[in-house]
Amino acid sequence: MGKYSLENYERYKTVRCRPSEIKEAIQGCGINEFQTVCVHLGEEPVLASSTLLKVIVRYDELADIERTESGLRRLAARYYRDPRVVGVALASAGGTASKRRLWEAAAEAFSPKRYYVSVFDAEQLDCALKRGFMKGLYVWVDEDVLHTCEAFAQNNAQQLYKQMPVLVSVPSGRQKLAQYAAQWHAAGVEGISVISGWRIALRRLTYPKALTSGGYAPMRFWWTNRGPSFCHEETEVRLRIEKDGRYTDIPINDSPARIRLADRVHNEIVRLPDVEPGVYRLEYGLFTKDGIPLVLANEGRNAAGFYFADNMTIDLTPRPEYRNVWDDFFADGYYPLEDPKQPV
Amino acid sequence: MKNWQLITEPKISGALLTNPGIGFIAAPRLMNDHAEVRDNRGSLVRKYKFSPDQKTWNHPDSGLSYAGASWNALEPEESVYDWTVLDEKLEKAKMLGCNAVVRCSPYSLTEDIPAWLRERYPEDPEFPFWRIDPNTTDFAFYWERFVRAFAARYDGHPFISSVDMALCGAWGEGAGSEFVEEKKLDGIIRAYIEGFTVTPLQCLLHDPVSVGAILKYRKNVGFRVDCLGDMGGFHGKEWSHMQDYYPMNIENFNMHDAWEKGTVVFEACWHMNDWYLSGWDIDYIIEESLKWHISSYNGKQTTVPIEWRDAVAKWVKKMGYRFELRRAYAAAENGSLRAKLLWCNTGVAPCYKPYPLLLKLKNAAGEHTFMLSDDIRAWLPDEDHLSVCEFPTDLPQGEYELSVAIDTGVREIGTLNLAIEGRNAEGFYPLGILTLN
Repeated sequence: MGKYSLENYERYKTVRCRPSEIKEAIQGCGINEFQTVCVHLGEEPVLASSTLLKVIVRYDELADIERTESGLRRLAARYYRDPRVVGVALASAGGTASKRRLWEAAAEAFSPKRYYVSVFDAEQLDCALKRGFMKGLYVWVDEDVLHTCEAFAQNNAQQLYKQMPVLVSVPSGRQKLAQYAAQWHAAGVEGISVISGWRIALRRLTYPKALTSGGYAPMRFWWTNRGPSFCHEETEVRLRIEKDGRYTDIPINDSPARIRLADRVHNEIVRLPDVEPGVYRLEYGLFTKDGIPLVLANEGRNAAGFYFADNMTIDLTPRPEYRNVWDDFFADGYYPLEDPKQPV
Repeated sequence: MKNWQLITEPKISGALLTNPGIGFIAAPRLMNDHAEVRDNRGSLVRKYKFSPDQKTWNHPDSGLSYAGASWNALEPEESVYDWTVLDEKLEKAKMLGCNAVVRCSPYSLTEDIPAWLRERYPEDPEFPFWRIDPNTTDFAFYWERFVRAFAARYDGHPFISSVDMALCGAWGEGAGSEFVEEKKLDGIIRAYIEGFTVTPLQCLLHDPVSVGAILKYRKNVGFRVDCLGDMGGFHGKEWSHMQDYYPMNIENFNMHDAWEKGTVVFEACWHMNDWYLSGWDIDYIIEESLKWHISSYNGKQTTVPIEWRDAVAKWVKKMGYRFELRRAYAAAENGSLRAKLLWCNTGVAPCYKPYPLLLKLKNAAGEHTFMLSDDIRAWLPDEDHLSVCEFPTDLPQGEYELSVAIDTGVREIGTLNLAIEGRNAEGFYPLGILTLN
């Protein structure tokens, strides 16, 4: 069996880094807890640290739609960059044409804040999805949770969690409703303490034990998102190496627009920077496009938002074969051919 | 219709359910009366049942069986087929009230290829898990021919849950598929794809080329992997199926969403008792399998350690599909009667068979059964769904008992077990009384 052993299968000796995963709820992974704050035009809302701003337009305000729109825009101008606002929703009565105009106006005025639509509002769901300004689903649960389940079914909202965050507002203290928040893949929950949002962890990273300065490094990543929600942020994976207090980035082309549930792999032959030979600390992190580090469900986060992976040994020995090594070598293809009667 | 009246919110059941196509593969060896029960290593273990009404000791009951057969038995002479062994196993499944995952294997390490083929190719090839070289012989041609005959006879069989796509390698598990010329595999793949148009298929996740070839032809193929539970039994911390092979290759082979349309089937590496004795983390193993949307698990009919009974019970309750009927309404207006039902699938996989959803109205004068148009295959995990039925307007007036069932159409299997209480002797779930004026 020697010919087909793991050792003979590999084209290069491999570092298999398995970062420790935190399985419990951790703060900072997505929206998590939030608070709905209702506001009428002309009022000043009292914002919580994480607020869904629900703008209530009164029926009489629809009589002068232009003025109401202006009011919306003035309100939006004060809060569209406020980090405490995670999103905005608009509740209004009135005729269809007026409502539609206001919905779009609110979505546009508050952009880039996400515009949330209630799972109960079939008309707005239909309009907002078709016109592309719906960026979040708002789920309000009263004492009758099955009424909310029906709304999901009636309005075909079951799979919207794949496209946008779902915020679930539950009567305070109704902990038994936690199962529904999980069922609906809540990115944030109001009213009860429950795991929401995403929990992304790097589970395994492999690369050759010896690498060349300025050369190619075949790297394979296995990420997991245990959810319950997708990560709807545009993100980018960053790698860097450190030695003697000096950091050097390793360019990598992994920028998922959205991170779904369960597993994700990224396989890339990256180009290492020109650095002095030595043993470096390899660090990884997940960042927003604005450079904000996201909290991962891995241990060992440092102040810059990176996590330690393993050591990386870099020398000056040329290894041109790494550049195309995967053309005829499937690095994850090993499987054992011996069949031990019991685990070794 | 605005005047929907709530009829009932059925009591949700937390019981272990047996249903076709899902759960542990049945363990007839552990059923019925046993003076003593032994584990896979022959050690006597304490007898227990998962619930008092179950038939199987130290193992969950099941609605799913396994029927495997070897090519040498099924085609003893060239182009002469003898399906007896497979028919017998399907009959056994039927007697158990199960359907079955079926696999026909070209050979194994102990079962040879058919004698008539061995005569032509007397030598075993060098690759350890091959009994015949698929590249230098006509294996692919003959195996493809066999698969077409197999499919012609068994596609749509009522007692077959799904079929493993055995391409090559011992037990048909695909060993060495990465070394087989693509055009050789292509014919075998097409034989399965073209032959099984009703019965669901699952492929072995063995190499990107063969899986890619399968997906090229059809997208609703599920997958099977063979060594669930291995946390380092081959190579310690260096490599294991659970932490290296599966997570990477389910993704590498673009099978992340395969579960939405095709079955995901796992077989144990060794036995669950071996995992326990090795000190492996059963919660991790279970959690990963649920993440991958497992429908069924083949534990090789051996015992579940009693220490793991509760964890395994929770696992079985999530495996495959589990349908809760959460609420039922009725409405009567202008002589017409309607019913509306709110469902949720609280399992981790859909049902892959289009079993019909039935509503029955019954009173002393008779009964009327109506098939709804819902396709339950679309009831994905965690989704709420509404079924609405409008009853014919020519129904006689009176009071009726409304009841619901999802029917397999197979008498020996009957209707599905729903995750609600109140199943009656006919396999329906009474919901309440409707009055048609």
